[in-house]
Amino acid sequence: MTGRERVIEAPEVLVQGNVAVAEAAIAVGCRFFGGYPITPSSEIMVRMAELLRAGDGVFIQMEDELASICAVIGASWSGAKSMTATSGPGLSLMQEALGYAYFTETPLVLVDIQRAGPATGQATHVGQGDMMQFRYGSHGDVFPVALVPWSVQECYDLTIRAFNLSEKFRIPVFLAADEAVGHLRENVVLHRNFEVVDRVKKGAGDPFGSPLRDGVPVMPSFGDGGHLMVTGSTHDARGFRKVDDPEIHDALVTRLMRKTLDHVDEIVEIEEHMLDDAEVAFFAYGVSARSALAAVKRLRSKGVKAGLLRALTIWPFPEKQVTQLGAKVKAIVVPELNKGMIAGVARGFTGTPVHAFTQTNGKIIEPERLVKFVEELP
Amino acid sequence: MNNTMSKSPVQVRIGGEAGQGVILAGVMLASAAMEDGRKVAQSARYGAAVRGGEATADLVISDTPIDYPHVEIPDILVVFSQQTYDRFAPPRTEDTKVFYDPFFVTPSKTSGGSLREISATEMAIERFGKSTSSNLIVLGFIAQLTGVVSEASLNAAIEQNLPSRHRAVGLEALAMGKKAALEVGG
Repeated sequence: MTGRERVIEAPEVLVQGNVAVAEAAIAVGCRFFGGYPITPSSEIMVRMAELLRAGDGVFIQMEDELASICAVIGASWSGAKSMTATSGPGLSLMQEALGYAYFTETPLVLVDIQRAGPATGQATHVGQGDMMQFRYGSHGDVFPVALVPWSVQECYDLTIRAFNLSEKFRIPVFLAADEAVGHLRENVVLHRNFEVVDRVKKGAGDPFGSPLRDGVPVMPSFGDGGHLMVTGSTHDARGFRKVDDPEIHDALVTRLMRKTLDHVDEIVEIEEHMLDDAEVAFFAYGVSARSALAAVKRLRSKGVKAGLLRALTIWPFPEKQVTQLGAKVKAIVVPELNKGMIAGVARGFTGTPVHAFTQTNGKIIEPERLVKFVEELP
Repeated sequence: MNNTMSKSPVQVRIGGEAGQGVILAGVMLASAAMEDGRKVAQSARYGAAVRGGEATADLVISDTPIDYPHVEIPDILVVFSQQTYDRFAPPRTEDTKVFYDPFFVTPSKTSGGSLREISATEMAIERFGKSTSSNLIVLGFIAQLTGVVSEASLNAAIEQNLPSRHRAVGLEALAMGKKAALEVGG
């Protein structure tokens, strides 16, 4: 696999966040893209078409979003690291098969460049309104992983991480980006200085069973020579349907939960800015965290002890970190481009007042608005 | 006008209608600033239509990592439409340097900031028979008058961002803008 344990100096280039996602996917070994274009994600699809056509991969423009995610699932079971990209309306359409991907333990990466919703909303303008769809879009108990980039560099780095987590835990992973970051152009280094994680294809055990409570089974591919059955119905370790056995169902649902929740410390990434002596803190993610960081610096220059806790992983939720933050500061402000989705979650993990700063006008939050909001806090 | 643009960060906004090359101008300027060794954050705001409707390109140039990636108060405002002039000028600060194309914009007497006109559309039509390189004429003009990016980097941006068949015209358009700036003086 390209790049493993090698450090290659790469020059700084000016690319869009969406293009950085595609470059990262190819760099980490993605060789299949099935998708249906939608603003503001389409540049990912265009760049994947160029890169896969020039290399040894497969690109298919499917007839719609449901077909796209299904093609990605099929490609993953044929052994290819696979990805699709969409925006909120497309993510809604993909939900049916996403649950199937989760329950069949299919590694894939789904990039969502969030726009102002609900419904078709404002196609060219930014939103962060899919945060709950990542978590609860599927029926049944699912415990997804969603990573949130705040810069073009992180569009690159977190796409790589999304693939690695997906391969390691055999789960679909979301890159929960937004229009502002996807369409931003910044200095970025498309480096090859990263570890590449590949699924374990052969070894002891069956493709859907593990003796460990949080175990990740081996994942053979179609065409490897063995009998392989993949079903969205409850199945035993070998993949046989078991739709009447209460113990098998409970054990499967529980193991899939444990795969994510027993590895929260590994999966959750956060970043702290000026929190040491902070009395008021922002808890933020994605492009809104950049507004928050700018506001923190301005508040500090006015003598207000402000800080920022930034989530690079929003699901599983950084519960422990929010609890610790609440123990440290007098107030938490959650700025986001929706009506307070993550603020509501944060309230569940601290008794400290959590104030939602919400903005749903298709624009990112001007730092001065956050400065004023903090200055007027009770 | 002095070369005050060694300041950091510098905020540039280019406004016009979709199809006028506003966003390409923003990308070219970002590309040049990066070539100068600086950090950039370039973004655009536009509607769902392919042609027509308001389009703006924002660019923040800095010597340190950029927190907020959009423009708050522009140091340089370039407008190719009356609509964007009316929306963004008079700016909230008088320090903004406003550049406008009189083919599209009639400035109001009350606007703040320093005003400079550049007849880029007329110049482009006269020289090339069409208006499509007017955005590059303006870039040559503002680069010369503000020093926001170096001439060498702007020329390099042409090489990096335009297909080869358009490069000769692109370089000539930049040179026309520079010449116009030297004639009006800083």
